Amino acid sequence: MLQIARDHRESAPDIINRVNAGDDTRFLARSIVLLWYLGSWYRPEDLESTSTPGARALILSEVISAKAYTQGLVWQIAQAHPMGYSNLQFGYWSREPVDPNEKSPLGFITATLP
Amino acid sequence: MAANNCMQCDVAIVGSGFAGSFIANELSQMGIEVIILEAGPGVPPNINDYMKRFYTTSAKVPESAYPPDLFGVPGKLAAGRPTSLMLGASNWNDPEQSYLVQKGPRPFASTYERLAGGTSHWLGTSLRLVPPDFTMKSSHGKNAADFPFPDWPQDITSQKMSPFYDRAEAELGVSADTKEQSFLDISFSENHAYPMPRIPGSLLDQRIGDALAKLTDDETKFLEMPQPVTEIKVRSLPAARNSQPYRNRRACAGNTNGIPICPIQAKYDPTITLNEATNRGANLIDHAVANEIIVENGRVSQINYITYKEEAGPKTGEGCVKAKIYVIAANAIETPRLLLMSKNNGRTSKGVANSSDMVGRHLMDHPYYVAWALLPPTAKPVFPYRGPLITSGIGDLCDGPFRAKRAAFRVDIGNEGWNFVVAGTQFGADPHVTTIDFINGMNLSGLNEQKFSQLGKDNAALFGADLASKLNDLISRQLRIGFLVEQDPDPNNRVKLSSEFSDGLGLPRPEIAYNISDYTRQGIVAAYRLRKLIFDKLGATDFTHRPPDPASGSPGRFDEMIDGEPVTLTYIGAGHMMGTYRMGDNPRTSVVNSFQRSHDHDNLYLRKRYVSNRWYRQSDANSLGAGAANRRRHCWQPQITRLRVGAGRVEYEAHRPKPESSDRRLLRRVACAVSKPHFRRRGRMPGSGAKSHSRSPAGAAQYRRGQGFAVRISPEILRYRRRGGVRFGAEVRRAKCSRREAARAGARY
Repeated sequence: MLQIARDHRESAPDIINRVNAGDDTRFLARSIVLLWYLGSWYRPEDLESTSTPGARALILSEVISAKAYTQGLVWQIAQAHPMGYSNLQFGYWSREPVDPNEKSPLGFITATLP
Repeated sequence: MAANNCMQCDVAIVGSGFAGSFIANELSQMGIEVIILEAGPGVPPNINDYMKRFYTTSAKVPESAYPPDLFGVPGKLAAGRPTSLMLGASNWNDPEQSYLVQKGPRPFASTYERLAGGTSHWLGTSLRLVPPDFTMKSSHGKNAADFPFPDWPQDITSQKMSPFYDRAEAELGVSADTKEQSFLDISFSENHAYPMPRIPGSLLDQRIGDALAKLTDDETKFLEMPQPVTEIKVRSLPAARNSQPYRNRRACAGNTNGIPICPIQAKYDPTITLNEATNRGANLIDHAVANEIIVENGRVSQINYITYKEEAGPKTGEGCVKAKIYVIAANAIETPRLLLMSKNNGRTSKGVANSSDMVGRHLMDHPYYVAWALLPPTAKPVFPYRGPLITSGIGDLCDGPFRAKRAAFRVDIGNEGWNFVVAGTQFGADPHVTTIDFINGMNLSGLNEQKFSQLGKDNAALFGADLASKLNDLISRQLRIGFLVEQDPDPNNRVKLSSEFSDGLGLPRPEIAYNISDYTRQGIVAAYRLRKLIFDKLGATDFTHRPPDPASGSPGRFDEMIDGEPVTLTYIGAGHMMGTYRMGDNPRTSVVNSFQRSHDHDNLYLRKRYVSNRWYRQSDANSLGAGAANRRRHCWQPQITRLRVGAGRVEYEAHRPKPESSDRRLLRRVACAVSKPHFRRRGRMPGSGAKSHSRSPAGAAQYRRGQGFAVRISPEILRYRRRGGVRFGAEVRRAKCSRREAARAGARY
């Protein structure tokens, strides 16, 4: 995985294509991305066994740490905050999450992608 | 344990939740000695451990922040509890996995905690009942012989409850707007104002309010309201959640986490009142599971309890408490369990307070029908996971002639997207489920189909920027609403003792028989129709009733014919445990009277969040607070009766057999011991030179904070009370002091 990333550091689509080329790397990469997004570890073999279309199953996972949960990317992508961890002020929820003085969190995350 | 080794106090309370904490605090303010028995752990020094528990558990269910271990074995825990994880299709009726021994036919789907502060995983919703709630039979069922709802006892009316609601709302710290809440004739006292301004609505609240602003009579006639409905108002929900700093707690920061736990305690929970009570001298004994109420000569004489140290036991000892008055405030399941366990060597073989055979019957909840949807790509996003879990709702449809035939409901508008509803709750929570779908090419959420995802294929698996922008697009358009449906009291919905299954201390676990009636199911059918109207007006796509049936794994599912089509509906629990010790005037058909005092034992009170006569429409621990305030007025019935500290004066009535002049003087002093408004709790009274809270005979005074007044109780009165209180008979004395008189009386000390 690291080798793939190093070999294709110039192009995100190339990394994705190479990672998707083999089951070994595909499901491991999915586990890692889930970890970034949710702060939880989903075992690659569980992801593999439930990836057939139409499969309906609860995939067990483990929260890595309190910080892993609160730093999950999905909350930023939702332009929100982790449930139970808000740095915002009273009443913010009645307004749109767009702050003209800041890059949107979504823009921030996608901009960090290679 | 030998009776002479028992701890002694004036009032013994079992349970330290909303009811227990309120009562303990009110009584402690009056200088009355209180002991509280709590089955679970005590109040921690801070909530850091609870927060860590919540953050690090993969199952962020309402019980996840609190001990004991979420995956503990129910048969081994010393003070077990039902949890949301015990409500799956495969385990809800398996007593090896479920704390409640559920006999069905349907699941009782609500859960509770057993720890100091009780069920703190509430949302804070603090609504008042509407007047017909108190008079259901005469308002809606006069002509129906088998109408399931009785009236409340006549001395409890909406108007009479109003001042007690005021006080409860002050204690909880409720944010709301009186004018906005004045609908359906809800009773407020003159010049009423809530302690804090209302909580502003979320983007979704505003969107739904706009969508329902213009309706036709045709669209809404299924609601069967007395007048044609051409607008359905979305109103801010009164909530025990600070909109400004209040009583040393900060304003809500919108953590979207009131259930299970507010990380900054902007939401009220009963540990706040409980801490005040213990600061005032109430004695909280934790890890103490009450296991028998001893009755002698028709009165309660003692409560026995078992102690333990570790979550999984074993028993480490036992103890007992003797008091003049006993209050059982352990919720609608644990209270009847304790009453039924108390057999007194066969003298009360049916259990304590159970001559009517009504203990444990009429168990109720608010079956909760939830619906979720996706706004169209053309709509502006509503951005869930921002703000308190629920900020607004629809309450105007809670009463109408339809209540003769079907259950009423209140509508919640969720600010947490599909968090706990996605895929019928069986595959975990959102945003996890939706995220996994688009990373692992699955479709549990129902969203990973071309027509919703706008991607090239179904079951797409994404990485990189595509993933980020797709999730942003979909999550920000997710919404959910919920309907809390009224349940009628059914004597067969019942808590009993299990003869087979016990907990870690060897005590029988609660056995539950539960069903929902046609009356309640018809309420869910009306909710189903309103769901369609709301989603249609929003242009949103419903995902609740899309195949594959998300309810397929729900034990609460049932089928109804709606407009000639079979529809599968389902309910979950609202966490509103009600019933099981019916209130009424007739001792043969009810357990407690309108003061929540047992008909059988005149020194035993049974209290909980929800008074048991019927149902409390909403999640209002509020009414409990009102009830607790009510009790304060009456709990001293056998001694000083009806002591009321009000605006500038104290009123009391006392029954005494042999009036002595010194007694009379003493009582007069209690009555007049109201000084000028001041809020100091500890410290020195100007000029008195004596430390407050001193209980020594030399200590000059004790101050108790009342409604803006410091109530001062002289050591003479304390001594008197310690001697065993005043024995009173028939004679009634009254004393009323104006504020000025009181100040003058205070000045004499």
